[in-house]
Amino acid sequence: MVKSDIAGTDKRAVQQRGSQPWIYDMDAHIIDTDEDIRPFLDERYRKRTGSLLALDEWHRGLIRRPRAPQDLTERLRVLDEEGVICSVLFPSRAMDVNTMRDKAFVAAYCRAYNSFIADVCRKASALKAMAVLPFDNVSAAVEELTRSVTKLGLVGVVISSYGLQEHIGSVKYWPIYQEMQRLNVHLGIHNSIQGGPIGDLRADTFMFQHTVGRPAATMTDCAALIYGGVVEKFPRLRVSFLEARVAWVPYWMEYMDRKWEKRRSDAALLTRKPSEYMTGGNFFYSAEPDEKALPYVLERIGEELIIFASDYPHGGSAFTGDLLGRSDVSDRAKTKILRENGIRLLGEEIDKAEYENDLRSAL
Amino acid sequence: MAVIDSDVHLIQRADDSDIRALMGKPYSNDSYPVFPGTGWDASACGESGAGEWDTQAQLTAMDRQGVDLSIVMPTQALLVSQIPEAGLPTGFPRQIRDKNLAAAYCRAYNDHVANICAGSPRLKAVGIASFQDVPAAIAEVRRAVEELGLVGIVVSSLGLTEHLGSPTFWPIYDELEKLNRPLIVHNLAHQVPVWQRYPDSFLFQETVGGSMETLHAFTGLMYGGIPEKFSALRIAFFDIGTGWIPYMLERMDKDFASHGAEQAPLLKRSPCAYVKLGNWYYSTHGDEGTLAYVLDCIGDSSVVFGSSYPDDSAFPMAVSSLQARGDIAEESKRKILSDNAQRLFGLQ
Repeated sequence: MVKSDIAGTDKRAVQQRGSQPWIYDMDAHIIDTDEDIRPFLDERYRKRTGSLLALDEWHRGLIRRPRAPQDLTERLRVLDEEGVICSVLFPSRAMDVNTMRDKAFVAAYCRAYNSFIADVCRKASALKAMAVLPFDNVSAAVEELTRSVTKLGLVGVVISSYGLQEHIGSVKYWPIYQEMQRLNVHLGIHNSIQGGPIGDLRADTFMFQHTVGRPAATMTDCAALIYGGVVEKFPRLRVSFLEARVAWVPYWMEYMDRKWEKRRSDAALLTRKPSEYMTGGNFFYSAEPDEKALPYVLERIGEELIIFASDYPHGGSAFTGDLLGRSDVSDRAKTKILRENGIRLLGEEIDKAEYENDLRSAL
Repeated sequence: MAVIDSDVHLIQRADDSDIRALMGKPYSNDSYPVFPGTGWDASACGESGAGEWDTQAQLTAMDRQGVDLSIVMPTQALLVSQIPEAGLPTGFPRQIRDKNLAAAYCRAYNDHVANICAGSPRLKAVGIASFQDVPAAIAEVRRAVEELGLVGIVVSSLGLTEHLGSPTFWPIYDELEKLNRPLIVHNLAHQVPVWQRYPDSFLFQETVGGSMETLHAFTGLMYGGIPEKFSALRIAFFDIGTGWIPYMLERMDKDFASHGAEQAPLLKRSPCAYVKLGNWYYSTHGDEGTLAYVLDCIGDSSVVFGSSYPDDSAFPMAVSSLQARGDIAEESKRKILSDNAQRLFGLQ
């Protein structure tokens, strides 16, 4: 939730760079509704009845309804107040598109969502967006990826692995990664609240599914990309792991290394330890601004790999105040998390002079 | 100080003939496998895990490692939770849906491991119970502890149709609490079915299988209210290290703050607060880089040393390398190597 004392903290945020917005928020959400998507759908699908997307059974009640997606004025006011110069928009619902089996419709839905979100981004320069792709329909996915980036200006691809026919490191999906590398856009691993196959049958509350689903799915995706050799094969592909916090990273580095030491032949493409891929510069991880483990994780993996993600306007979203106010994270690290690392994840050039200026103003 | 290795594995025969011989009729003569096949080869094509249990060899290995007392865990007997409950739809063949099979297997396994422990005072073991058949499980928990002298019950949760915190299993916990013996959660890496879908190598399966399932069990036990309902019950989470604990606790506390009142109504305090009460334990191999940080977060009274021998890449240096660490206080090492395990298993 946006903090009620935000007026106090945002001043600090803005003060760090004079009065200019400077923060890169690598994961905010649009609240995408069927009404938003329908006008962009191919003619033959517009009259579909019922919900366009498959729904899960959970009653969420998490999304703050008053801030509707169309209320761009309110969104831009918040960005301005928070000093955000770049806000990368993810869907709220469309990332679940790959749980559906109707191959042609999944592709059509992705095209419609991407056209819709590109339309939103045209209204303000701070807004960037991630594309959704019909992952299991690989040729259509590659085609839509190319269109989304070259024609629509989208800056990456979001995937929630739940529902995919194979793990996300599978050779099946490599043509998508190859095209992403060519187009210099990043992959955002953002598992939906459905979260993953674990506990599908046994979780008996939404809270249970939420607590364990996303960590399990995200850590599995990380192992899939590494063991599958994706990072080895596509050394310039950048990947962000979102909304799963960062405290799992040191644990998982060590755990995978331990398993891999015994069974290297099972991951024949690897030329380095799993942990080295996790810290090699391809992977970025989003921290919660108030995450207790942040200083420890910074110590273990360095300052270059952690990004800021507000999750705005979803429940639990926190803006920069919590991070800027921390005394256990250095100003240099804060600057990297709030800005520089996001710029690198986007594949943009960091202006040298500007970079020095950032550091000077932060330190 | 008596060094205790809380997690060594019994080498079981791949064909289960060692256990089957003790199962009684009709099972002892049955040629059908006790467990459904998982389709994974954990032996790396026969390279590891093969051989027969040999108590003398085990004691020699303990001498080399510097271990005084070992707690023996099952190996494939952990798969007992995979035996489907009679009456539930399943893809498995009819033979293994016999409603008495799981209970009969547990009794035979417990007899087998108790026989082994009778061979040396340096070996203690935990037993297994058929969680899919609760009345039988309660009777076997009592027998295993009171008659066989086993020091706890271990469960692998995958295969069960409910999470471990479900009230279905409460009578088992009630019995364990009364007997003052712990519940050990020790998942087997290559269990089906939840994670069967994505992994396409045993490395991948082994990485996500045991670890993610244990996070699930941890969450289920917590949100199910077990630390409140059975406040004296000791529970331990084995063989996935400790680096995940601060991560999961912070995530749980945050989710609990938003939804706990309605979705975990039995809990009267935050998950982290329950963990700090000290009745939940975790095993470490001793060489985790994250260990010092974890001790900072949760204290040093709930971590026990468990090598996972013979699946132990650090052997025979696991104990000495933990003792040589400069980032962990000597007092903490003593607790991890001895005191905490004595308390967990009620050996004092």
